[in-house]
Amino acid sequence: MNHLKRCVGVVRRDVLRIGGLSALGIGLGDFFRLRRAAAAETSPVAKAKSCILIWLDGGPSHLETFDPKPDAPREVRGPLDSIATGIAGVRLGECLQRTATIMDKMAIVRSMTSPLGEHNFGTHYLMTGYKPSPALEYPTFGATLAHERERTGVLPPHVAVPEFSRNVSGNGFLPRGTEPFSVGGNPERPDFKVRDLDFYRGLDLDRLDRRRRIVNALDAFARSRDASALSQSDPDLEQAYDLIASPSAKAAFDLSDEPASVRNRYGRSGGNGIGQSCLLARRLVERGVPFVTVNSAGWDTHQNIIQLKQRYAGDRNAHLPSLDRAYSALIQDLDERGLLGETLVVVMGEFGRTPKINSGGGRDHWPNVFSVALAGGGVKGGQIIGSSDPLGELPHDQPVTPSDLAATIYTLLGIDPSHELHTGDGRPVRVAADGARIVAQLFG
Amino acid sequence: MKTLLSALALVVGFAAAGVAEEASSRRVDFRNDLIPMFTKNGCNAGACHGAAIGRGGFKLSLYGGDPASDYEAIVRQRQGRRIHLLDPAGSLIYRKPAEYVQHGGGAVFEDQSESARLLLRWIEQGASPVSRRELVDVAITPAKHVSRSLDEPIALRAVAHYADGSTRDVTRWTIFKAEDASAVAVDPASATTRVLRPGRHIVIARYLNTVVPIELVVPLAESTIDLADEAQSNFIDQRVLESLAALGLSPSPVCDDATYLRRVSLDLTGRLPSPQQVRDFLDDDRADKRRVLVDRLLEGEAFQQYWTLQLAKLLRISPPQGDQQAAQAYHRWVADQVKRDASYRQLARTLILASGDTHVVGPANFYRTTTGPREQAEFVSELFMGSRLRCANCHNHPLDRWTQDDYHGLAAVFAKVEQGETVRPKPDGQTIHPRTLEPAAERIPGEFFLADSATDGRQQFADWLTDPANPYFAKAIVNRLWQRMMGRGLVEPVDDFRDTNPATHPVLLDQLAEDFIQHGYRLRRTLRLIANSTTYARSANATAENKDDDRFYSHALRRPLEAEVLADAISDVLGVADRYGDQPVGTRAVTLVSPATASPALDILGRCDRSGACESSSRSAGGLPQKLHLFNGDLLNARIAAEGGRLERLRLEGKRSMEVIQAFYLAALSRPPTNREREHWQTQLNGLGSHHARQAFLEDFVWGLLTCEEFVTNH
Amino acid sequence: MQRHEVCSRYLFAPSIVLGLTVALSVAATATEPPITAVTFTPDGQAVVAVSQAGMQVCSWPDLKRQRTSKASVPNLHCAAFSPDGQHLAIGGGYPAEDGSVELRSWPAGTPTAKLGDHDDSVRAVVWLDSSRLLSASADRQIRLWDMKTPRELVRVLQSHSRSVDALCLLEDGKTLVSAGVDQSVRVWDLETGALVRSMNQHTQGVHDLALRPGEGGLPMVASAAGDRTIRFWQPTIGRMVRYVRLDAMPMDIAWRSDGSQIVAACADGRIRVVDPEEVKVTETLDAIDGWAYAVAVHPHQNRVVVGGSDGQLKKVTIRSAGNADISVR
Repeated sequence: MNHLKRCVGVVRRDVLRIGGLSALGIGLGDFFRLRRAAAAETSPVAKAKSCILIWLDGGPSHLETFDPKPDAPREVRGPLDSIATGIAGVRLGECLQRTATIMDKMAIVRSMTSPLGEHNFGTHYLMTGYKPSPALEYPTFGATLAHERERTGVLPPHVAVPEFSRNVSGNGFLPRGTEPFSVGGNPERPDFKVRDLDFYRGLDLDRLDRRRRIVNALDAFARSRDASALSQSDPDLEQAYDLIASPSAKAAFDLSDEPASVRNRYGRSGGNGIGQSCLLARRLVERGVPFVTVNSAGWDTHQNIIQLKQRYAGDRNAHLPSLDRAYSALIQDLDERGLLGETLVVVMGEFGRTPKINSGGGRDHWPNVFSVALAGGGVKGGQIIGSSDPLGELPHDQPVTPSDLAATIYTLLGIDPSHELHTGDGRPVRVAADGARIVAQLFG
Repeated sequence: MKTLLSALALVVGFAAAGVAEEASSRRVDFRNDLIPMFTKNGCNAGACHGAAIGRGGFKLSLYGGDPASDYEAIVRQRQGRRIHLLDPAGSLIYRKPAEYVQHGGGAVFEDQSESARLLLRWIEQGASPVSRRELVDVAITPAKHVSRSLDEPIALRAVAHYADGSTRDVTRWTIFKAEDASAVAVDPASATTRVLRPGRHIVIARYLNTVVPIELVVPLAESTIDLADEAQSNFIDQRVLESLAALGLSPSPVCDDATYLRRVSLDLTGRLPSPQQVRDFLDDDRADKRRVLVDRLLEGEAFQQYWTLQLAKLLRISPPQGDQQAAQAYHRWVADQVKRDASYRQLARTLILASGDTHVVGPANFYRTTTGPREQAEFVSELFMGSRLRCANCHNHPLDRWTQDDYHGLAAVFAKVEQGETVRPKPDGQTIHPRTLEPAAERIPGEFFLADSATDGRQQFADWLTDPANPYFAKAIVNRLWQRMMGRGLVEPVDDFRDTNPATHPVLLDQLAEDFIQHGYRLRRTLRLIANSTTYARSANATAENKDDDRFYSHALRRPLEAEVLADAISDVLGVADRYGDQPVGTRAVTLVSPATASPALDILGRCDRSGACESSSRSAGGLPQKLHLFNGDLLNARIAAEGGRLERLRLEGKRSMEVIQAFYLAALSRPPTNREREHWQTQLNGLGSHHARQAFLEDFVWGLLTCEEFVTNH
Repeated sequence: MQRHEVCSRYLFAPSIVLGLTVALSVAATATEPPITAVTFTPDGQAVVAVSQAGMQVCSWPDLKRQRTSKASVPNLHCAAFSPDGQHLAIGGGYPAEDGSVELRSWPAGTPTAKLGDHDDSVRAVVWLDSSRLLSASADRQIRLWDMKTPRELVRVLQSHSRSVDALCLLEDGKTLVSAGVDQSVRVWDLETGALVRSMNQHTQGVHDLALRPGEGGLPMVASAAGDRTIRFWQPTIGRMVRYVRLDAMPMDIAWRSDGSQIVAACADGRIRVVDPEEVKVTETLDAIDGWAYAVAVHPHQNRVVVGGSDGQLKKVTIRSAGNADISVR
């Protein structure tokens, strides 16, 4: 007999045969609500000091990565196979071989769900926990963290490697100083350098300091009769100065400081620089940067999804193998350095992809269900949370919205999701959307 | 016997008639009862069954835009399994939202709710598609409400008017949603709303396809303010002051001459006034000197160059596939139009109807702006109609009137134009309508389909668009002109005109558009009007009372300079030109034809690449990387003390340090330093002993001047 | 004539007319559920039609209702007689919850067994032999049952990604063709349960399949879909031979017994007769006021029965075609 368990613990059909849950005095909606309330009772403890968000820009296919469907029809399964991991019953896409060996450190949420299937809307929702609104642009995790945490050190608190997504404003309504600092360039190149950190010839720190003070004086004069004047000096200028003034901070960006063996481990090529970008991210969190976004572009595979595995015969640097290399190297490196417990690593994109392969051999946008992988920072590893239905189309149980995920990430980072931020005109806005539920199972 | 039978027949007949009449007065009407019910419950919203692909195999039209297809979906599709005529409560269409069966959308209504009862009654009554009456209009009140105090409950009401003259209160089936939920609270159960913060706020009301904004105003000041004594130059000032008075916002005073000179020079010519021009203007004591200044600026070559750039950005001029020659021809043509103060109406018509070799016929490049008919439809609608048709690609626009037919119909018009090096008509060009899977029929958006045999789609579109009665064309352009001058459009974003995004000053917008039309659609006319108004001349210094206003023009808005203008300003102040690509030295950035011309300076200053609209300023051109570059990069450092530059020249002329500082104030900030400022710099200078130290200080000073907010903004 | 006689004479007829008219107009607003499937009885003398109201048997050709009965399975979608004519299978279910097939002995019409346990309605049923049958369901599965052991599921065929709406068995008794909402036409090996191939030319959901009668050549199956086409396939070699476009959606199709023409019941209430060799419509005839959902062709008459909206059941005569020898009984 093929009973599909719809209500957790109660076989739906039996329930309906006795007249529905309403006979028991509650509707199905209430039933789910009560179960969720019970799950959220224990309040979790925050352990993460920093977060590295590996952003797979374009919407990575959940079926080729964290939620393969080996038993589904071929047009859903896709051209790639799946592999077993260290955890019984858990399989990953065939290209994630190294990741499969560290499954014990990872938690994968397979029941993410969102209604927003366009790049800019989806990116905003996933990166801020709020659906985009004409009234307000919300801040991303990094900006909120930069705003809430006390500044220690001069490195920008919110860094993007190499560039931040163009689909969302990094800081939203929060002040300019919280927007992400894009290091620019291409970390894979041997001559990679963050621009303009070294003094212009003939200048030194004293000159720069004086210049800075001249600007502050001029700004103060200009705004002396303006009631809406800002009381502080240009934060970007201050931050730039502080960064230039600190040789150790500048050194954080120098990848040539790492031995070749380490650089190779992360991967020197592929996935749009994801390997070296992850390495740079590790260097930054090691030096106290609270939030780093690694941006890997090129996951919007409307055509030829096989190219994620290899673009030509013998290709070892296609997006999936590069992600596998970089991610597993990062987790293991953090672990070996004793940093994994306090560094949350999140891998996600703005949505998943259509379960049915399209006529171009690829998959189109699919926000209805997708996966997010988390590790470190107090996340309990070795588990799958929620699931999608057998065809990878919709959440099967425990749907998690991007708001829920945001509330969870903030909690892991020690920020209360109900805490209020304030917009420029004094309007209070919660860190995470009202009604967002923490996914308690993620906490170790 | 026969009599008895007759009587019986009559009794039965009339009894049945009585029943029938009673039943018909309670008959549930599919279009007028059920569709609003589905809309109110969110069933046909874009996130649910109204999505382009529907949900769970069940598709409804977005917000009930197509009741006929909704009827088919509910009653006829899948062999009618969604309704059960003999057991209405067993219908899937009832059981799912009542959550007797697992429903992706959860429990939508309770089984005893009015929604549920309507649905069941309709099925009981035979699930008829027949409507008793046709909806003509929905009157939603109030359209605007001004209250003195916060938190006062305001009752909202919606009344439907039908073709047979009848009316019905449909408030409980109308969705009321505040644009800003933290400013306005809406209670759906009682259909009342309360304003939580002073200001002007919008609540969007939706009944079926009618979407209407409700304006709620709570003035910022406790008591009414009297602005009768404020200076007024023209109708612009009248409208703006009316609005400020209603909101209780007292305006800042008018700005001083130096500020005005710098502001209007930047706005009209994209250039700083020269130090000599500053001195002359400040010394001039004519009463009408500002008007004379405006006239002079509008006639000069600098105006032509700058406004050619503005139109080039609007038209997204960029070498198509690297074809520099085409872009040059296009740019030359635009420059010529600006020079002649050509009618904008004529300009639009020429562009829409253009054909020919794009290397020779400049306006033909209009069709090389995009890569396909759909993209061209989106571009044209945003540019000339100020309206984003793009949402209507997949379904009828949720917030506006545009339908899928409008979008694909306009795309069909442009499908008949070959978009290549030579632009020519392509009579059998077509684009497939995603719903019918057939070629889309050409259509004037929101109006009518063109005849099948029509061969002049572009002509008809151009005629409709530029007709004086067209509600979009003139408003779209004057709104953009207003935005360039004032810092914010009366409608923002400027390419998002829709009923649910009303102008801050609707009457002013109408008057500006009307004036524009009456005076030959000429740009200089409207720019002159704006530049001469008192509103334009207000100081950017906010008062304690009006500092939170960002859209009612109680004070001027500070705006960052465009990359090209800032680059030229830096070059002018430093007296050293920058190189752009392989253009001759001395070429001004505002005259560059291609936005891809190699220039690290323009890149770091955040120039718009024109791949999309340049008006959205959501990406801040600034930030840490720019400041790092200013500190350590070439942009300023390479030229501050360069040979032939202003600093060097003044040094060679033997000017003393304070004189140098003064000269730079005039050059960069278009004003002399105040006494306080003078004292401050003198103190700094006094601490420096050697000539070398003073030189270094002056370099640092110049750097600071070019980095400070007063320089990099227009205020 | 006395006054009251005059009154009664002149009032009688109009009163009756008035009363009836009003009563009928009231009655006219109550509608019946649509007929979803029709099939001729094995002897060709009656028609079985199913709907949400249950099962009805009507005499042929006058279509007078002889008996109606409610089935233990609600919302019926399909009906099929076993090859030996001794059983009738009718399938349906509770949408989104349950699907089953009720078996009735024939001609008595007594329910004998119920096969089921799909998670959604049964949309199509086809007999493999006199005791085994296959049910296709909106739950995406096809199940094989043996009547003798109704509780035991013999096999499940799972591959469709959406509701399976049509089944068609080839004459070899080993090959099954299925189709449904996922737009694909799939071919199965019944002995192993393996999917042989999936053919994906339709661009909307497929509503019905029908095997072309006749001997010689490769087996041919016709399909009708929401993309307004009828396509002709050779499933054993995986080829779509040709197709015809219609002006309205074909909902159900049935071949004439000599395979010379195929008749389609369409969503505009009409039936269309299609020549499969020339791939064109040779006749379009009105049948139903509303949608036509079901059609069956009489075994040896040139007449069809069409079922559709509001419980309508109509008889339509079609022209004879080709060299078929048609006789009317």
